[in-house]
Amino acid sequence: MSMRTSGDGSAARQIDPVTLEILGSNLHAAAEEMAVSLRRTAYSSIVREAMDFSCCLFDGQARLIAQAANIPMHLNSLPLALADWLQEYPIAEMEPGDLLIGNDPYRGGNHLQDVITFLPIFAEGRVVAVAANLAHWVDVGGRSPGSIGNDVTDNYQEGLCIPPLKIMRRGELDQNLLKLILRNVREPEKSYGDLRGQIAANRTAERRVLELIDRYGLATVEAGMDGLIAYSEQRMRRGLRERIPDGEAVFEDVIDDTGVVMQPCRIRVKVIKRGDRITVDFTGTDPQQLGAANSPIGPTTSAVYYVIKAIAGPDIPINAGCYRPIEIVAPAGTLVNATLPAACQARNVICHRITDVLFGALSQLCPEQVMAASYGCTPSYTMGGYSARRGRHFAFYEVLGGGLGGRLGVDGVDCCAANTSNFLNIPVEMIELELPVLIQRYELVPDSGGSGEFRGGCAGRRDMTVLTDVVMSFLDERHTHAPWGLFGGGPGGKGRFRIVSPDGEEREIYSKATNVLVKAGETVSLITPGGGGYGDPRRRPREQVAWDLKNGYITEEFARREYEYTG
Amino acid sequence: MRVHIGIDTGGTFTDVIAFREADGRLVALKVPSTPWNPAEAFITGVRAVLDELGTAPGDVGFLAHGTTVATNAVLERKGARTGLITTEGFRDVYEIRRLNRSYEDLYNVFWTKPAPLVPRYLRREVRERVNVDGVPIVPLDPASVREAAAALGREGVEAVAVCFLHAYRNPVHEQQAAALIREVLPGVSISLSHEINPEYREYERTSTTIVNAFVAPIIERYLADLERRLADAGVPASLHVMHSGGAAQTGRAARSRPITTILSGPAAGVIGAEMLAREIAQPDLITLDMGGTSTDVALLRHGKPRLASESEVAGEVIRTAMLDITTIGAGGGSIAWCDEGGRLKVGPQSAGADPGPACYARGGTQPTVTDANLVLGYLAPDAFLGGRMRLDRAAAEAAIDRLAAALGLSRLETAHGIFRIANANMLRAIRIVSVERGLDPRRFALLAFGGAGPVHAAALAAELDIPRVIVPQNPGNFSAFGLLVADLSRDAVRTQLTPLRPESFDDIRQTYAQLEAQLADQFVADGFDRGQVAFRRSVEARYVGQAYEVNVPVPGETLTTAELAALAEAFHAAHAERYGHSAPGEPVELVNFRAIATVPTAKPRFPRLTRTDGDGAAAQTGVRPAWFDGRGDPVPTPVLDRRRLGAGVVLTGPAIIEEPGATTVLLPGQRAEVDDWGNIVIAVGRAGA
Repeated sequence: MSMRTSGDGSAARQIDPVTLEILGSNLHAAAEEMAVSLRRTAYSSIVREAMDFSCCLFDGQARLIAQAANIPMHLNSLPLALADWLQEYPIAEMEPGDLLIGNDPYRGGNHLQDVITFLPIFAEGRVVAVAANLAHWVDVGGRSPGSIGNDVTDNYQEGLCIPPLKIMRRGELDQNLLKLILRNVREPEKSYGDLRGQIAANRTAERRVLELIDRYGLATVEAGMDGLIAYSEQRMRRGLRERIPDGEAVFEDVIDDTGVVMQPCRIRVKVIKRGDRITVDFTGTDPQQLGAANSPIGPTTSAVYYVIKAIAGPDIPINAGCYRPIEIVAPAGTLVNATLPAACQARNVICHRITDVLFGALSQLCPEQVMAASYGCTPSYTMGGYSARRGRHFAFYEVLGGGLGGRLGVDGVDCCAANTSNFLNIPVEMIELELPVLIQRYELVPDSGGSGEFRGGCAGRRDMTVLTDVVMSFLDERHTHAPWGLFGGGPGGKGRFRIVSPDGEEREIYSKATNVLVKAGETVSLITPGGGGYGDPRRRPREQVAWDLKNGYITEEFARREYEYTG
Repeated sequence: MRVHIGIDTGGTFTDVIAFREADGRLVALKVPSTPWNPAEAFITGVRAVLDELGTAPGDVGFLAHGTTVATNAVLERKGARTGLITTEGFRDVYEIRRLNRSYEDLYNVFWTKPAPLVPRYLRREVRERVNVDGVPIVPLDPASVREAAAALGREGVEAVAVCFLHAYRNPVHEQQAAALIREVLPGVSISLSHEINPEYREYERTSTTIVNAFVAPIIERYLADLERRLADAGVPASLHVMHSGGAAQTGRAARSRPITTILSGPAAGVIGAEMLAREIAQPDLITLDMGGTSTDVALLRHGKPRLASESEVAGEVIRTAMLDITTIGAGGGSIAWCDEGGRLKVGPQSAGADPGPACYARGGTQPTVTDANLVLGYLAPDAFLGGRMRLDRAAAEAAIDRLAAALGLSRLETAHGIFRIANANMLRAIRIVSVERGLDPRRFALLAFGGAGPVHAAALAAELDIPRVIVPQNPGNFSAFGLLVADLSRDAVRTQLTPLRPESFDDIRQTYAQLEAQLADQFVADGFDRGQVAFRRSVEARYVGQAYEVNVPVPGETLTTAELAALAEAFHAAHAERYGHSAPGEPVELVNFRAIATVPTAKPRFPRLTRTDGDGAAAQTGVRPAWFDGRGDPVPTPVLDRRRLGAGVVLTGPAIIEEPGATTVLLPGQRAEVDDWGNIVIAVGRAGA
């Protein structure tokens, strides 16, 4: 690591720690600039506000070099897709200005809404890097607005699947393909806008990489890429050695249901930690099911990498080196490695549960590094209808927050975006501009944080009255199986969705209900799950229980029952 | 004999600068800051410059102050005890925030949200509702307001923030509530969201209003104390306070919106740059203000700094007109270290002023950027802060050697590595203000100031292919200088979603007329003539469906139909510049209408330097070894005294130019010329050349 480059710049395949740091920060900056460009130019609110997109740089050998900080759910979607697609479109046959596009979940993708693009970057007549990004399009067709449908029984019902295609050749967009794609989505202008943003972001990275090569020379930049991968691998191995004791642990949990199969389905994990390697084995997990809650291998590996990285080295730069010491065993045809024709739109249900069970297993090896179970998935709703204000049909999608599990020394976070997701809510005042709704409340839910020495985070609640008839779909989890606590901590509150008519009549909505007609004047009340508590509630300092009570995070009844607190 | 005084409170020193119109004399000095009450250093500094000038307090005609009182109250969470009154069902908007965590916390299992400035039990809900069109659909319930105010009163709040949904559209309920709160809680400071930040997006508006309420009583007490002390000292001039938007404001304006002082710290330097840009006819500038713990970077285009509208202080989101300044944790005191994987890192930890860099010999043992600059020969042990502070070279070497051993590098390789990596960190900030805004830094000149900026500027510019570096006189006091040249300004904004089409043109004209009347009234209330007030307009626009807006300047006066029609073109062009693409033909909507009203202040006129020409030999004080790469032998480098450089002098690098408070490094092969105003202007060659 500490070898120097010779003075004339003819870099050996080794690089000094100063140049490595400078190249590392420049390559990372290139990925970040892509992300800035993509987010700022995006049309769909999911990209802009929920930050549901990802930007990466690969080297000429298709190894991940740098990734913009973004939602961890996308940690490993782009590497798998690139590796897969290059078998069909070999790097050697690429030409400058070519652009690959695709969203096939079973060719390294996520779910159909996540559209991936790759742009090869040329220097000295060959591909020296690949710019890549993924953006969640607002709609890719399928059975309901926003392409959310949890009662689907196979992938073909979920929308338009674009296999890996060369949509741009030598800088010329293939108008036929474009027409085909845009005819099959509900918001073609927004989707085309997002695609233009994705291309512009790749071009940004291209300029940046070429500038670096111009300044430091291709040999030095390539040596730097090698050095960065070796660096991250070394850091990850060291983190595994030092932060997770050797041993084996097994944990399992269930999801409420799949959207079609109305019974719990099991996710089982066995963790084997030895020295500087770790194996995560999902053998024993239930087979893939009818319904949208199945995960392709890409999201599954992302969820695993998230937990391991969060414990072994939160600050390790993300690249191909990080993942080398991690082995994942995920039997094909199960919930965690679904295959065609499984539907997978709601793969985040599985990803959130993978995170929980991995923390659960690791609580047996490194109890001080984990958290209790959090809310159950990425809770969301879609709404479609006609807006008189805008004079047109709309399809709207919003993500909700929930409670995070308690951690050693720190309470769970109240109403937030947890773990593999990280998104922003959409402001009430913006929703009311865009949609014919009146929001009635947006608040924390008392008693929904599991009791504990370190309590779980409170759930969130959003109530809205629709002003015209709309069609809504929902996605949530842990409405029947509460988020568990750890080491004596109590469970977090379950989620609960309802529709209340103007005369006060209530009806429950199933957590994954699809295409629900909500009539003008009805109020949709969405309560997400909270987080589980960590540690024995009786050990919670009394002044903190009193503080929670004073602030209404808990009620008197809950304080008495869970904390034996009577003031 | 009118005297202008600028006072800039910093963490360690309070910078004071005074200018006397009669003879053009400029005095700059530093007095130690008094953090327990910054007013003490303020008055000490004012007395000191008046002594130095030999001028009576009665001659002070203009006073401008950059203060960190409000900023520190937020950073230390030592503001007023504050309550919030908000729409029923929405008291948690402020605590939920936007749900997300920062990028730094993405993989942090232990992340938390910042503790709210107003805890939940001090956030009270009242019955009222205004809809998105500004129509009250649930009338304000006076009883619920009185009850909420009384409850907050029992808890002893000193300040109340009021934020109702859609108040930016129709403030009537906030106004009614304020009247009721005043009845129940006379004397309590009240901040109304439609006055503090009349823009949509309720979390950001609530947070902004709460921060304003939280600091309002603090600023009120501080300014009242300062005004009393100034009166006691016999200074007749009224006090002006720096605004984060890069202007001065009257004490009355600062009291009514104290939030505008929170991000004002780095603004003065940028205003100084704006003035300089005009003087030297260099309208495109990137400013680099590098101090002990941080570096502020901003960009001027066509002579104007860019504006931003949102920022964060200690986790609190603040929306107000502000200069678009990027601050990074890289300064002279940034600590260099070797991470777990053997990579050399610089910052963000800083040795600060105490213990400071190892070479301060005040107990610091970790190597900093300043230590590296000393080891490389850029700084001299006996010339720091004009010789008032000696640097310990042996301590710097020892600290660097320990790090060098861990890295497997030599002392010089390590020191030069620290220098390069500190530059790479600053490059990142320069990229953010330029490239990420769609601008090419190679078309700009780099204006370097702050104590450490001129050491790094030439190397930085070479890295970015920036052709010119400008180092002003007294770079260590340049921010205080900016206080002397700021105009008085106020701004107003209104969110009003308006399609950009001919049917809306009358509405647009009316909106600006109302905003400008409101601003003019405020200036008149401050004792100015309506005729002195000039306006600038802009609008934030977007394509229908986008949620991010692009700011587009709007022509003043009548707003003809042709001018309004041209807005669409201007928007497409601005969008293309910033984002690389535009979509002419797609519908555009206007979102936030902004107006800025300005009253010019009497600017001091600055003397020109006597022209001496020559090669600087007359100013040479010695030669010392310096290293410009991490290898080989040192280069014997001439050391020059900047105070002895006349205009027209041409220097050839390498050279080190010293003055009290700053050192400028000229790299081998670079040429520099001293211009008529005394700026050192460096012509930068390509990196490595």
